[in-house]
Amino acid sequence: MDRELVVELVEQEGHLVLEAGSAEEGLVLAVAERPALILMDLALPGMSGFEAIRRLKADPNTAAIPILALTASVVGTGARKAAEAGADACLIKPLDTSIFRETLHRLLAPTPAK
Amino acid sequence: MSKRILIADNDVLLSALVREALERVGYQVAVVGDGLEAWSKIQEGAPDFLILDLVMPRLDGARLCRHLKADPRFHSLPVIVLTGTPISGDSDMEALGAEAYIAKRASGAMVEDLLGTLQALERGERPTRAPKDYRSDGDRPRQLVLELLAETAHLSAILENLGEGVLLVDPAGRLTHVNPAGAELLQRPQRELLGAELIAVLGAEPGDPLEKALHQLTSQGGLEPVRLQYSYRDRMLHLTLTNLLEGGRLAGYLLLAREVTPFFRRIHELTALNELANLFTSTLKLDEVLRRVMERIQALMQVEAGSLLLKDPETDELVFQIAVGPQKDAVQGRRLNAGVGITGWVFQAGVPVIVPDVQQDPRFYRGVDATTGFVTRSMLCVPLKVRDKVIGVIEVLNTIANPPFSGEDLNLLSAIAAHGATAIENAVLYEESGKRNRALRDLLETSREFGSTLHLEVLLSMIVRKTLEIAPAARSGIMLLDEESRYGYVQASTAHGRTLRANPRLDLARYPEIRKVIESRQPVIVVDALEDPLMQSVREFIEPIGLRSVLAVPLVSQGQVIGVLDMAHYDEIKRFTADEVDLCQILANHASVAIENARLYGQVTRHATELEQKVRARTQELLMANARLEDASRHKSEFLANMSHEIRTPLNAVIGFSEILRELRVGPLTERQSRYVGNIWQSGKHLLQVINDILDLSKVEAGKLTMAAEALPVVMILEDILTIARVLAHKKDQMVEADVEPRLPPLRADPVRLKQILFNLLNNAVKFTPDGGRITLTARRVAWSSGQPADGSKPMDHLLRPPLDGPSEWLEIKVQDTGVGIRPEDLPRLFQEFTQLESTQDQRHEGAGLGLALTRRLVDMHGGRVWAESEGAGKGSTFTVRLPFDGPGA
Repeated sequence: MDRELVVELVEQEGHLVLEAGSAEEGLVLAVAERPALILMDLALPGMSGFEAIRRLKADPNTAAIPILALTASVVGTGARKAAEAGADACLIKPLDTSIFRETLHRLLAPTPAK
Repeated sequence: MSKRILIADNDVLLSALVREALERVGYQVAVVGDGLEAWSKIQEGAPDFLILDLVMPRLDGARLCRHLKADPRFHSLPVIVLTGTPISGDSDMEALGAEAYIAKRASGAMVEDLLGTLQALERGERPTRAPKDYRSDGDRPRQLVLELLAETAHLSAILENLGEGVLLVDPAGRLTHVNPAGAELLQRPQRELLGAELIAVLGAEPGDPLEKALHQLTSQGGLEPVRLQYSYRDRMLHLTLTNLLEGGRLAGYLLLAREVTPFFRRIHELTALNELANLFTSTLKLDEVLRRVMERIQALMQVEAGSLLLKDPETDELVFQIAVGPQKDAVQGRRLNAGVGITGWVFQAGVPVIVPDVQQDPRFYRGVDATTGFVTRSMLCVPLKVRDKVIGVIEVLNTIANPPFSGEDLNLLSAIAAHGATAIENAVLYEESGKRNRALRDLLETSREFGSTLHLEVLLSMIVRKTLEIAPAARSGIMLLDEESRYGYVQASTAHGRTLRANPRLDLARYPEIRKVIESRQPVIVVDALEDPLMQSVREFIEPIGLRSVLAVPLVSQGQVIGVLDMAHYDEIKRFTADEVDLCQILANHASVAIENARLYGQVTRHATELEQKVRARTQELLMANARLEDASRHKSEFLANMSHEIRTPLNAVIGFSEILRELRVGPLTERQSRYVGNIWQSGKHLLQVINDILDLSKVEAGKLTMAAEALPVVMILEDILTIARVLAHKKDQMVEADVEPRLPPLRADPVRLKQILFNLLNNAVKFTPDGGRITLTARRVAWSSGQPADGSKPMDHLLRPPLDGPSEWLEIKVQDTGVGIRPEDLPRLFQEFTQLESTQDQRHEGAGLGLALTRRLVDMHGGRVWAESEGAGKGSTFTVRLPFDGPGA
């Protein structure tokens, strides 16, 4: 249901969305498809979102892809840890749709690659 | 007042005779040896009569008489001229101007004549007898012979009658004349003395003072006498020696002798007594004092033996303290029962006694002599008295009866005894006080030792040992009593040379002395257990074990007899002295305290152990509780984190999808659908707010909500927050007005938290104000000093006073609305967590009441105050926040 909301919001902005049910799946998909943006939930079954971000950023094939991390946790240090792992932005659920859209545009903006 | 007569005559013997006669009839007589002396004496004070010899050395009588009669001060002084020399003529006599003339004669007739003349002169008559008899009548040689004969006769008479010994010695040192008084002094008949050599008679040896005196006389010549004290046989003589000159040539010596024996003896005794007194005061050692007393007595009185006996206050016996004489060692230390012997009699009677022959005296006790072999004959015994109390006696003894002790001996020994008794008493007192001091010092030491242990058993055996040191006894023990004082529990017992029955529990019915101690709380002394009526009931028990003397003292603590300390002698009677009883009682008192301390210590130790165990258990419990709390706290944090996460995730869908729907991104909605989606979105947002507030509050409680204060431009912050508030208000057609004081200084605060505070207040105002209402925000600077209540606040609310010693410059922000208002009784609860005010319970106003609670916490963190006011329900509310410009803790 959560993923569906995100898919809906991204698709509404006119983008094509590929979905993965786990970090492992996502890593394979990311290497294979080289998407323009990766949205990563931090709480995942199996490999954690943090670990997945670290691996994506460590892999030269995917390092350049911006990553938007999503988390429902405000108690822990999720957002900070996500930034440390290499996420380009982190939004806290529940998402404010307007902020989400703004962030999406910012990350997909045709700015010179980092 | 008697008349004063001055005799001026160089004839010593005559003037002595005349003086004696005149003094006998009451005249006051002074004698001078020459005219010059007489003249100076008269000038000092004129006598009533002057008896004047005509022929004298230096200034003769005739010249003195003329001199006096010419002097207006003295011309009326009656002058009686004594003359052995014929007067040359009437004219001479008349020229002298004397009142009377009397011929020198060696008989009472001259004295009578003189007395008659004096009486006549006293009556104011001119004496009838004129000195015609002495006129030169041409018959001079015969007259001279007659006069000389008369002169010699009167000189002889004087010599014979004079009380002083008069001896004439020729230049060769032989006695040529001795008067009867002289013979008596020398204790030899006159006929033996005449012609004998003076030196031999007096038994003088070469270098003797007498020989020296004679030498001195010869060498110095002249008439200056030499005086000396001379010991002759048993007498002391005072001698005056003068040269006899004839025509400037030594004709022999005149020796005048007087006995001064009693006088000397007295001086001798006084000196001895004085020496004794010095001896007495020079030492306080009793033995030393006694020894010195007796040695002095022996030396002074020349006695063969002597003893000093003192009463033993414990036994009333007389004890030979010190003895002198051949058998002194056999006598010293012996004891006599009171009243025995002459010494006993003197002791009891308190009067001295001289016994010339003790063998004849029925009072005499032969017991002492029988063992020493000394055969007493003559005895002098005097009491030693101090303030009328007889403390002992001194006796002196001789084996011979002659000479017997005299009254003088008695006086001397009494005087010594009087001095000695005081010295002895002082020494005895000093010795006793010394003993007592030593004992007390020991006791003090002992008490300190008692204090050194709190172990009861060790303490008790220590007490018993100390008791035996203080009062030597065969056995000493301590028993402590049970509560009814029926049984005694022997705690410690030390015995010398005897094993006692081991019997730790004693039935006190068999110990009457112990029972008496318990009842009387006084020491009990049993001198002889076999005789004491107290012990008769238990005689059958004590006889076999030989118990004889007992001392038992109570151990008293806090008014209770807790036990008894006792000591005992077996088989023989040994009297415990008063000092021992006192000391034992003192020891017992110290011991009682120590025993009580040891017992208390035992209790305290037990209590302390129990307490320690309790504390340990309690600490363990607390530690466990603490661990559980920590655990619970961790669980709570985990729970909150999980809960937040678990709620946020579905909320994400609720809010997100409803937003998508509301924004018609997936198709148009009917008006009703649109309203429902709006409700879903609204509720989702509210739920999110609740979750966030809960998390913030729990962070504040856990002290985890951090604050980063910085200087903030107040106006800009207010504008930001008003923008948001206006968006909210716009939906309800509400007006939001602002009245902000210009040029407010920067405020030190955390920007996020400050916005949170203001947003909460404005959000509340919007929420609780009906559509079309008005909300007003005012901001201004206020001075708010310590202790001053804020205007409009309720005085009862102490929180609305600024902190003591806090800042005085505050930023005040008021948010006023026209909403539902607050009932006065609800005001105090407004800022508590989860307070849902009934009056405002309205489905339109969602809210768990966490917003104000959080606001209050955040304001507190900034060192500020927040409160609410309302005129009542329906009349709107005003929320006021005051924050110090300087920030928290400035």
